[in-house]
Amino acid sequence: MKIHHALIITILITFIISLICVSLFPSVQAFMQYNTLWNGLHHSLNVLNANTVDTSNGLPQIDSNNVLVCIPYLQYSDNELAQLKDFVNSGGTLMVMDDFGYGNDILTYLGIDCRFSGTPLLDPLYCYKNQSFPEIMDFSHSVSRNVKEVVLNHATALLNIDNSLVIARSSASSYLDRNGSGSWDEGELKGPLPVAAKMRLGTGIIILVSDPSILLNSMLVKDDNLLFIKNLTGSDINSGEILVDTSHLIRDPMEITKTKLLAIKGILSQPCALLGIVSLLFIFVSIYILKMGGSIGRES
Amino acid sequence: MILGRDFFKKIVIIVSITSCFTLAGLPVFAASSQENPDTAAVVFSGVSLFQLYAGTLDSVLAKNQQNIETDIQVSPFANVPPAVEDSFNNFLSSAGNLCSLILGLDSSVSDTKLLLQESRYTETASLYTEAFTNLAIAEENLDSIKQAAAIAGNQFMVTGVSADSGISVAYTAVQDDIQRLNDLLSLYRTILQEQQTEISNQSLLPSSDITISIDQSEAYVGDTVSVGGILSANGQLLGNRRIEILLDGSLYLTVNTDSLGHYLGSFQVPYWYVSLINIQSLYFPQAGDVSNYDLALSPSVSLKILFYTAVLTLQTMTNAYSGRDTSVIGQFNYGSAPVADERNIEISLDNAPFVESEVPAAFTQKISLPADTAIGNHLITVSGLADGRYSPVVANVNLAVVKAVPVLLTTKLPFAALIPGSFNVRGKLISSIGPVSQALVTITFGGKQVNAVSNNDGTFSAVIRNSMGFGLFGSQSLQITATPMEPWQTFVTASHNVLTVYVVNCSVFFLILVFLGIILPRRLKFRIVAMAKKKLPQTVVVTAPDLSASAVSSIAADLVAGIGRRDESTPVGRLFYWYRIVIRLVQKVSGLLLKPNQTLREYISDSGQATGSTGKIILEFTQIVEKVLYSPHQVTEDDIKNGQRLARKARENLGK
Repeated sequence: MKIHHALIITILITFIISLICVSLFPSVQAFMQYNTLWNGLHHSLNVLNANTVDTSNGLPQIDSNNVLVCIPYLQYSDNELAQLKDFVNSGGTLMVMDDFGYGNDILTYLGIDCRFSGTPLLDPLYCYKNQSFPEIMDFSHSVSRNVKEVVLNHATALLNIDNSLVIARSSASSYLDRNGSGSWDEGELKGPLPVAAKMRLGTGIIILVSDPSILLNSMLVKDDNLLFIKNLTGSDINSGEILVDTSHLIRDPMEITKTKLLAIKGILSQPCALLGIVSLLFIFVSIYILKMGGSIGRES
Repeated sequence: MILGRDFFKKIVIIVSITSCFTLAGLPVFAASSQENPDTAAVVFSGVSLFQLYAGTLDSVLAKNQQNIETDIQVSPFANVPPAVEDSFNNFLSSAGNLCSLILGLDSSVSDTKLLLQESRYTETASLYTEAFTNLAIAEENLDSIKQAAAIAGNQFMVTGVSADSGISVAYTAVQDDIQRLNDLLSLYRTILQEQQTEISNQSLLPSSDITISIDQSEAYVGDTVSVGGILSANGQLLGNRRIEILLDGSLYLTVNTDSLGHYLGSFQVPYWYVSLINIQSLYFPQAGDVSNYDLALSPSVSLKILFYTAVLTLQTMTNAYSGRDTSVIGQFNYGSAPVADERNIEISLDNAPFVESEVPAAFTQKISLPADTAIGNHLITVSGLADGRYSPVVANVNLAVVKAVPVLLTTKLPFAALIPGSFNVRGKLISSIGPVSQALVTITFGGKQVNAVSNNDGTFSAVIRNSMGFGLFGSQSLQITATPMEPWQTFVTASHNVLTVYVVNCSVFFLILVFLGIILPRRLKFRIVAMAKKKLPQTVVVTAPDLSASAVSSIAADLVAGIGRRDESTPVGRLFYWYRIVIRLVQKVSGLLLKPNQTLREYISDSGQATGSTGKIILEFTQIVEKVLYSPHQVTEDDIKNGQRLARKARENLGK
């Protein structure tokens, strides 16, 4: 075997192994649609009967009955923000779920004074296992149906918001750990602190939740998180569905490759591509047959 | 450069190791702004527990029972060590009880003070007994609180830490609050004991007595009732004294006794829709009587209050729509009471007054929902106002405000679409509130969009002209989107799969297939053979003939069938050409075919009967062919001419 043959074979094998690995290896990135692990959205989307939507090429037409959920871990462009504003102004419901991302950019663009604190909300007493999982037990009438407690996961709080708009608050023992000491220090904001709010904007509705993690596979099943989300989005009353915008989530290289592979698979299933593949196969098989000449089927 | 097996092995090892590293490295990309709740460490906070304890005790001291009740409500969600759970619950319940008892003691102290001012010593005495009992219970609750704090202190080992530490400071705050509560209870005990001493000094005054009676034991609201009685002190009737008539403890009427100590009055039964009203008369010593007579409160007499009640049942439409009218259906059920002709009702939406109306016993009240009513459940409250003997009645019902979802019924949709070509799509839009008219219907097929507007009966029709594409055939999605004009209707979308056949593309593809599959291989084959011939020098490889029976018969069969025949431009080809003509003649005349294991000579012999005398000519030709096939003999021009002659002769003889 000559060296260039060996190199080509090596590259081909590596490429094929990589493709197989990417296809078979489970998605581990947080908030990914195909991630079935604790930090994915796979089961949650099924339970909520929700779908994903990719807004990177513009916001598709969404019925005003539907709720568009944004988890802004990546920055929205001005064009995208303008589309979100149009969606809300045309009567749509936008739910911004953020903790340490770019949620404030959306709020600024929409002209809302409220802000995501961006500082960890800790509750050493009313919590699930430890203070990074604050338990919320104070709800307004609009979301309290069958909801007693909601568990957050590494959340933050909402600041500068009118009391009448708040629909969920943390307990009195919670606080914003500004200096990251893990305990309350003088000058740090103490609870109760708002963690969810709902307001009208034009003819639309804006819902703010200071922790997107409650949508995770492992969190949605905790306590009354599922009912809380249903009450928030009105999904049990409305005939609309929940659409999660996945285009502003952080993706690792494997996730990007996985998505691209799926896109290529989609393209290859198009009639034109299929025609091309069939033609190429046909040409290669014909060349092979011709190269072999009359020796096929004959004894040597 | 030729590579050995070792080199190839090395490449495989490198690829495997690279793959392993790639796989092992992947989970590192997982984000960390969340934590797995199932594997998270359990951490309890003593500081926050003691802060809660101190906060609760502060609420007890501030007599803020609501705060304590809130703490008790959320206590099941507190993250406390299992060993402290029971004492934690005891602490909160004891704090709740203590707060309520302190409030009671407060009230007892102020009540006794008031009663003493009004010279109501008998009542004061019974109040003291109750207050002392409550004080004892309060002290027991404080003991439970002390115990719970001690258990938590042991669990978090407060005694072993420095006094400046957060947990120690929090624990000290709890102990300070416990001490303040202890002091508070001691203070109550002292006050009550002082007041008790004062009573015993004042209880030597002459006691007064008052009686009460009413003319009827039951009355409707609004009726008139007479009340009367006698006021006396130590057997002496007290005339011209002011008597207060109390209804359920509140002053309602004032009358005076006559000169013989009798009093009489009448009052209208208030419109209080309660089952009983307790009536008492009170003599309160005034002016010169203050130091001479004790206060007199009559026993209580009960007046049964009668009024008409109704049960109001409500119903709403299954779904209501923002901006549209909906109805509330109600029914007043009066039971055995007379039915009111009309009642005034107030309807409120989410506790905001909405409509007022006068309605009969069974009614259907239309309400117009504002266009901006939010989607979701709303509370409708209907209050039937009190009217004379009719008591007020209130009922609630939920109203679900939704958007109507139209159903898209396609009445004409093709199973298959030919491209180029066109097809018609017809359908109807119906929602739960009737046909959807004037809705914009957008039909998208193969990247082409056609718009239509629905008619008054909800029907729509559109013609789709198919445009060329690159596909062959397959299922293509036809998407229909309807956007209703009314705010109460929602957007609807539906998609159908239509088998699409690109006729032109299919034809072209078929031609390509024919070209690639049939014509091209043939052409290429000829060219390849010609090229090969040009390239290869004409060498003759002489090999020893294989003269085994099977080999001989195989060569013969090949020769006859023409497989692997040589070019007829060569001498051998020309000779065999003429021999094949002869063999085909023999096949036709004899009807026999050359068998797989048969030699040429055997075949000629078997067909001898049919060929007759010509058989000799054929045998002669066969011998020439055998010589060429099975010996190194090279075909000469004479062989060819001889063969040609013999073949022509055989054809003439056999009449072909």
